[in-house]
Amino acid sequence: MPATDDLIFIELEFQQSADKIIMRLNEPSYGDLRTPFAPPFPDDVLSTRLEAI
Amino acid sequence: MSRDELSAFGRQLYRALEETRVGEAIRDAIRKARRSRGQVILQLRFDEQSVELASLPWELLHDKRRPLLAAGVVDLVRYIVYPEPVVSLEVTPLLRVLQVIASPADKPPIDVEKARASLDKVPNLVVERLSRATYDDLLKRLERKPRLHVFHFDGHSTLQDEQNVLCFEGEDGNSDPVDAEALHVALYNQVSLVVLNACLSSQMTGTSVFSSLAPALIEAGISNSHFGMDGPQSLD
Repeated sequence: MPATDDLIFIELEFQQSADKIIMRLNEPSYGDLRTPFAPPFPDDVLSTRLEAI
Repeated sequence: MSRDELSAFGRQLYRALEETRVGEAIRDAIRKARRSRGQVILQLRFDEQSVELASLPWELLHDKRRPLLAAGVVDLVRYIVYPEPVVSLEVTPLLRVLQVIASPADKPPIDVEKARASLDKVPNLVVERLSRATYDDLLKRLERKPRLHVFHFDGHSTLQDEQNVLCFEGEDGNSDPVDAEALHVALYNQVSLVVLNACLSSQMTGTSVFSSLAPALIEAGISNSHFGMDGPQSLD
């Protein structure tokens, strides 16, 4: 386990509405970034794969 | 699912992050962590509507070189964004923990000794255990004093009618499913912290992230923190 000083915290916040998902990163170095996020898998594929896992 | 398929799954998930405007920040953090032998703590915060997103197996994140969590480069924490303020956890120096180790006869056996040892070695804890890991015995203990600070469950959970349930032991020794509502009824205003060490207990089901066990307890304002595990897990 790295020392506390060697930990880098990245916080991503997801906000979902009916038609889109917004991902928000608020980091001092990058500012307040908000960007659309596309889930990588269609629902049916996702559920099948999760079941397999 | 094969190792290659899991890797492909993790790469696809990572690519979805990387292709956004926050990708640069994530790449930079990982690069920096690798250089300093440090670690990126990736905190994912989901709102109540983000069931599918919260259900994604983020633990598989793979940056084409290696699986980031397995390699120790990244650690992951899921949070549920909830408008209620966090209730402060005020305790006297010794934490009183009720550990329920449920190993129903109709489920794979739990390594009870290992589960006990996991708490026995923690300093400043007073650990109590139920003689029988039944829901009724839990209720009876909660009616008594001294008051508990922590409810710690080791065992199995499963899906029943698309809801996560914890498998307590029934009177016949087989599993007795306890859903989020029953857990809420038992624990509300009784403990400050709940630890669920059970496979599937944090897996999101239904249409809201609050329909699974751990999130439902957060919604009920019971605890400050919960730990659940997505997918089958051992007590390791």
